[in-house]
Amino acid sequence: MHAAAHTADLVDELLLCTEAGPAELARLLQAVLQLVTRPTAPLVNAEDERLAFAACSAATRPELDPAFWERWLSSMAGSHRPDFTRMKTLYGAQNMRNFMKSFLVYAPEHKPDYLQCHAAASPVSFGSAHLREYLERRKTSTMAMEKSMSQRNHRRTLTNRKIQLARREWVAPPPGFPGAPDPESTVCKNFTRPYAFVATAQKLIIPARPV
Amino acid sequence: MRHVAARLITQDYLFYRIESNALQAVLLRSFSALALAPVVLRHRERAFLSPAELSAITDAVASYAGREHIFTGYHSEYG
Repeated sequence: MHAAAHTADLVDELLLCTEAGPAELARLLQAVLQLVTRPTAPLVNAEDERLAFAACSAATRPELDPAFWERWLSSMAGSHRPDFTRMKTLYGAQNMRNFMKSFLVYAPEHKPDYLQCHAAASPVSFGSAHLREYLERRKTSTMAMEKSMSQRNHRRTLTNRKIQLARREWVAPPPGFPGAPDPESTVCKNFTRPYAFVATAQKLIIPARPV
Repeated sequence: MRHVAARLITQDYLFYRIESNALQAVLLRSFSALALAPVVLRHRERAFLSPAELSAITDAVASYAGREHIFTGYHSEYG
């Protein structure tokens, strides 16, 4: 029980040991990373805070430079790929988000602005990197879809316009000529408006034609 | 204290039946880690562990973090 929290307390103490060099500190922070992302269930007993407190203890160590923290936060962001069809991977991602929030809360007490800046800039601060990637993809695809729909609508508008123009320009042959609409036909009964239009056109145009 | 630290990182405590999901095994492993924390704290206040011993604890913790697979929290009976 409480394996993550108890180990976090131990890691915290080890990170503060002056004998630990950069390699040991890196290994211990790797352990923190594993304790955050490996659990296949949500950590709901403040484990994230105790793990974050341990990581903040490491932030007091001058052996770890800003470049290390940037790498570490980046590896944390890229270490866990949530699969939205598998709940266990989502738990890991959620644990990581909770950890980062706690880390941001505790970091100012311990350390320097650069750490907070890196943490805040890290994609996991606002959701997993892959969620962000997904949202970016979705945004791009939405834009592409909107563009496509716009083009399609434009084409549709043009087509409708052409149809309208064609209808207006079309003049039915006068009665008795081949192709002339038959008022008794089913087509003319069902489509009264075209027939009315044709009738109007005939009235307007046909009298001017020489017979 | 050095003896305690050395015992706590063995297969009988921190790695006790590491593959097991049994409650007693998980409790022993988890609370071994918790018991090690004050040992290291005591070392920080007044050093008594050798660098090799400290390195062994670090290695054990790093390994334990990668091998533990039961991360349940509060238990109604055991706390």
